[in-house]
Amino acid sequence: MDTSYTSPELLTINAARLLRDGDVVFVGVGLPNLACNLARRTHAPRLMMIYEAGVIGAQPARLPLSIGDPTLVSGSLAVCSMYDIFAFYLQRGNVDVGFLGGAQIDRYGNINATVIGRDYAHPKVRLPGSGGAQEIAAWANRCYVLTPHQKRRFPEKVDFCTSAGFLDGKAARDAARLRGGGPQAVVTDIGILEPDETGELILTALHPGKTVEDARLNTGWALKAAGHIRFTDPPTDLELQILRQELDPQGIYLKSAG
Amino acid sequence: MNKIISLEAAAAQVASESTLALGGMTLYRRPMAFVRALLRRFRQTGEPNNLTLLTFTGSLETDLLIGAGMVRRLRSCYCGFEAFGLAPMFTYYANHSEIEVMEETEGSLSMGLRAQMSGVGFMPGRGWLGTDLPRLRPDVKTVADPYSGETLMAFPAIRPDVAVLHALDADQEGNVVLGANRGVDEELALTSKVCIVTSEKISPLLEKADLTAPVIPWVALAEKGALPTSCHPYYPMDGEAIMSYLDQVSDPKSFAAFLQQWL
Repeated sequence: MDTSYTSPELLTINAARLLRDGDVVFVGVGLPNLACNLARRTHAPRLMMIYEAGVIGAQPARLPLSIGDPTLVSGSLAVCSMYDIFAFYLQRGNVDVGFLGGAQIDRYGNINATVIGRDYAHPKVRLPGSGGAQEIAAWANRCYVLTPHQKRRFPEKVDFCTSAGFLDGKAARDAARLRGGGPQAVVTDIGILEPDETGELILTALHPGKTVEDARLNTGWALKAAGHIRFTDPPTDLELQILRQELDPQGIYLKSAG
Repeated sequence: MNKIISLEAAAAQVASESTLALGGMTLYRRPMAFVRALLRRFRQTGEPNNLTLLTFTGSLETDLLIGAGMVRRLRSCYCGFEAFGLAPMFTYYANHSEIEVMEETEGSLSMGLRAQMSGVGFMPGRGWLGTDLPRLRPDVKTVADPYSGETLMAFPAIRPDVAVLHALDADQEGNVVLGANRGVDEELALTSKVCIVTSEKISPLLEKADLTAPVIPWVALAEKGALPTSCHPYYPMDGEAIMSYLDQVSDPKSFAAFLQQWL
């Protein structure tokens, strides 16, 4: 077995395993795209990919570099307008899974993609912005977040809430009438966090060789651990082979050492 | 009616203080030749200035106009270079609080454009609920569903003064082929007061079109007019040119040097 893998490979493989056959997935470029394609080639051949540019049932022949990349359109099942995607698919509840990233994710799974720093008018760092993340977070049935596990990325509370997780607890999300189920797993290079019954993210799994202490040291709040922590299965030769030889042979997204 | 004009004449259509919308998405089919003509006009005449720039997902075209100092306000849901990284001039001026950002999301822009296309003042939706976004946009109000009483966001209709799109093909009447990946180009054509199309080629009268003559007043020829962004199926994105921009530009000084050479 190949025991050397990069951190992006570990994230992608664990994200792929969360996907189910038949899932309708709102995909971004980068690791979520790779995770969906890996799932399609292993346990979820009927997974359907939707892109914000209005592409439904995408079957990209090569790795897309942009959300507007024409490889997403070629061979797709249907093309529609962006309004159709956001209103009829997402808001209406026809999307099972959404992938999210962001500069910060907090204790209750809220995500910041807007500004670092508490003062919006005078930010420490301006970020690119929501894109479609706000809608995905609110309306997809299950959201998965892929992110490196670093203290600065995991503050107690986000500086700015671009995309709603559980707000300040599950009851608050319900009260805000957000139809989707919210963040169901945060996959990092240390392990996996999942919401408990209050919506607080707790450590539920570790990757091989990682410890609860590793996760706590790299989290900005007092991270709770589940009573029983499971260990994720290491990436298999097949998973690594599909990623490296078929999906991202140039290592555009997967090469970075971690 | 012959609607063909030059890129210079197209650039002259944009007035200072107006709202300019640019078609395509991030690094796909952006009207770059038009942006170049607009930058040249600004350098020669100081106009247009104080623009409100509406770019669904902004990237190089937005960063260039911001870097040149033509944009007072950016209305967008994203400005960056996707996998290539941050947009350097947008980031610089936003970090220095020198550009106003009218914060949007893909859903709010879609709904605002749909309202304008439908001829109504707003489109109700469940977006933004629970987030910090409504705090930044007091102009976006809520409305009570008259049937259920549910509170919804009322995303206001969006009406650009000028929209510029880059097309695969067009004829002199203003019939236009965009291709399969349309982004919000159709919406921009149908919501703007004036829509200018730049096109890879000008053909004799088209028999099949994505946008038709009644909504397109002007067409300008711009061969390779989206480069370095992509224009499927004619050419792919020029990734090296994108990376070269990001390597060279980090602050106003390095941007000025880049622009001098690029124009």
